[in-house]
Amino acid sequence: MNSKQRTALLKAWYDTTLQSYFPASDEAFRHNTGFANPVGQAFQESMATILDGLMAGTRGEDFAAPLDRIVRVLAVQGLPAGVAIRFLFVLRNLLEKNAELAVSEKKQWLARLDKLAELSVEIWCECRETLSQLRISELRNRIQQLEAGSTSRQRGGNA
Amino acid sequence: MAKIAKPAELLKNTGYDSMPATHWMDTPVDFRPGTWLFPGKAESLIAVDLPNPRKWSPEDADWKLPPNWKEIILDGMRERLQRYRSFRVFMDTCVRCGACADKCHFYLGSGDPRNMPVLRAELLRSVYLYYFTATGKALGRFAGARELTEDVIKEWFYYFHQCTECRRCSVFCPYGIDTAEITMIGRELLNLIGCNIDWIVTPVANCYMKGNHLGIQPHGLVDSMDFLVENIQDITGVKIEPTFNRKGAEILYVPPSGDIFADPGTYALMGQLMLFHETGIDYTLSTYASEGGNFGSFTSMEMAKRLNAKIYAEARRLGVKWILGGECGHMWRVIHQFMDTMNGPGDFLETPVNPLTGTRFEHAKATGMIHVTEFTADLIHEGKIKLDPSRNDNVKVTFHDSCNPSRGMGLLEEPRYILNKVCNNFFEMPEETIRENTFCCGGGSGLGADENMEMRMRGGLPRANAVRYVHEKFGVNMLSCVCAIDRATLPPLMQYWVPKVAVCGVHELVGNALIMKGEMKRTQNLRFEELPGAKEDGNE
Repeated sequence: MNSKQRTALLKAWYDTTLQSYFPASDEAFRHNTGFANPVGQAFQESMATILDGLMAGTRGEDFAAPLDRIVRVLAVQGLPAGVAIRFLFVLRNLLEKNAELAVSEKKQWLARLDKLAELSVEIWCECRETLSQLRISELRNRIQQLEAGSTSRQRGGNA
Repeated sequence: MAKIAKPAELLKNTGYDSMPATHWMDTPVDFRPGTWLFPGKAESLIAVDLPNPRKWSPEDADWKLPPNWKEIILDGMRERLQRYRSFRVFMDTCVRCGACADKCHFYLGSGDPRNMPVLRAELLRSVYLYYFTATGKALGRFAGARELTEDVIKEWFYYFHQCTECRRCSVFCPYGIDTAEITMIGRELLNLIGCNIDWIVTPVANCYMKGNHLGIQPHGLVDSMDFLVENIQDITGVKIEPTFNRKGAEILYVPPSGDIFADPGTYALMGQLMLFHETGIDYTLSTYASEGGNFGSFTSMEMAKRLNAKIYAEARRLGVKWILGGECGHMWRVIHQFMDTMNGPGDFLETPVNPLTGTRFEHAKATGMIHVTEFTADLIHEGKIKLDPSRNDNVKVTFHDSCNPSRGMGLLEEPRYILNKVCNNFFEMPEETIRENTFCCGGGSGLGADENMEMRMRGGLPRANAVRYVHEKFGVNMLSCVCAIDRATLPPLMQYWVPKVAVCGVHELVGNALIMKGEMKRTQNLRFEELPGAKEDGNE
């Protein structure tokens, strides 16, 4: 894949993903850059890393960081896991329909995408688990605060 | 690459094209768990005379509104349009230019168009147009007007509790429309028919009945303070003896109660107590005005006034000369913008003067109250305290401008001045995410409840994204701030988005660096963690 093809593929992947997840706001998200668009920044930077990794034959685990940046955002958007990993199927769709890419190359990349989907589901579950843990921690802290206010506090520990 | 399919083509027949088929006015709210807040408990509403106390849930079809709820809301709007000229101007002026649209942290983190400040305001404006303007009455939907229905009330409840009143959008509005004030009015109207949230109403009731949001009674307050004092003694060897309700003290010190009871705010409070002891200022705390924060301001102006009144009442009773406020956020919007006219004039107080430096804080002449970072920055500037910034060498610090002190009162330089003096490693986040452009923590204005966690993570994403950047670029591992709500909401935000970054108050770092007279050899910081270099020193 040459650089022109890469750029076009990334743009199509990003645009389609945005339209899929944020249909009413994809225009605004497309136009803003950098810190003014944290979702777009996470998606664009990570998608470039993922695509380059696919082409370079990077090991599956090394995709964890860029996948995490995307899935972490999607895990708090009220989406089920199957929908949250749809951005990978958008890429699969794009690769499959791209007539300019060599068949042998495509086959390799598509095979690697399966591993990425597995990893993404694991990350999604971990994110949701973190959210639940955060809720539990807040509840526990609140109870401790109430106890602290009504009884003498134990020395040497946290509030 | 003309052979690459267009997004719409790729999405066709895949089930991925989920754009609502209806206009926003006809799209009802989906109350999905994790994105809305529990309603106010009946007993809390009763405690502060709020209307329509009952048991209900936003998930129920019937919200048990009063039979004449529509009349109440429209009368409430009419009254506020007459009372607040700003409200009418904000309703009439907007030209829907969209400058504010992509500035809201909730919109940036969710992509939900009803979180664009312009559209959030439109939720209210559409009703205003329908009932209070000739164009709206005549042209209806064509003029952007719509009838008030129960679905509209549900939409207001959902989206006016997805605005933290941070005012970032107003910075970018060419007309100066303060969308936060539109949210404030929206919430006032909802309160008229008993549609409020427990995370606000119960703290309000607690503060009214017991003096602070957590409802801690005076003996509990003193007990908690004793605990902090004992910790300070364990760490420094210095015994501090703060006083409560002492008549004749020069200064009344009012911290946010969150700092008395919850980490990491407790460490920031310890730092302030150490500083006051070291400088020997004549101050007292109060068990009556034991809360600087004011959740009343998230309810109505009347409630804000009712809770804020305690501060002046206590200052008058104790006969202090001026008031020193702690590291709080929205407290400062109330004090800086409303207190003087709500409960003032504070002419029984003197213009605050730092007893050590002689600096007169002329800007606080009207209210008689200054922020603790103004006090500390002045002390450092005049060389009145000794600091060892190397005690904070284990942290690389950045600073989150809390929305209300930065945009509400212009407190931008003092915290930075202090941070640069008390630690050796301070790094700013990107320019477009700090100072008056700061991004909210995502849990301010009463939205910081655990049941709202998913929404908080969406709203906090822009802030966390900037922290992630300085974490990766400079190794930043400490996010400092001057707001008690931040100290409650930023830790979970960091745990989700940037797990290796902790949160602290500015005065925690001051307390670590402060060299106190008569202190023992310091080996631990205020968290009982080993000070940098303590081990090597011990081996010498």
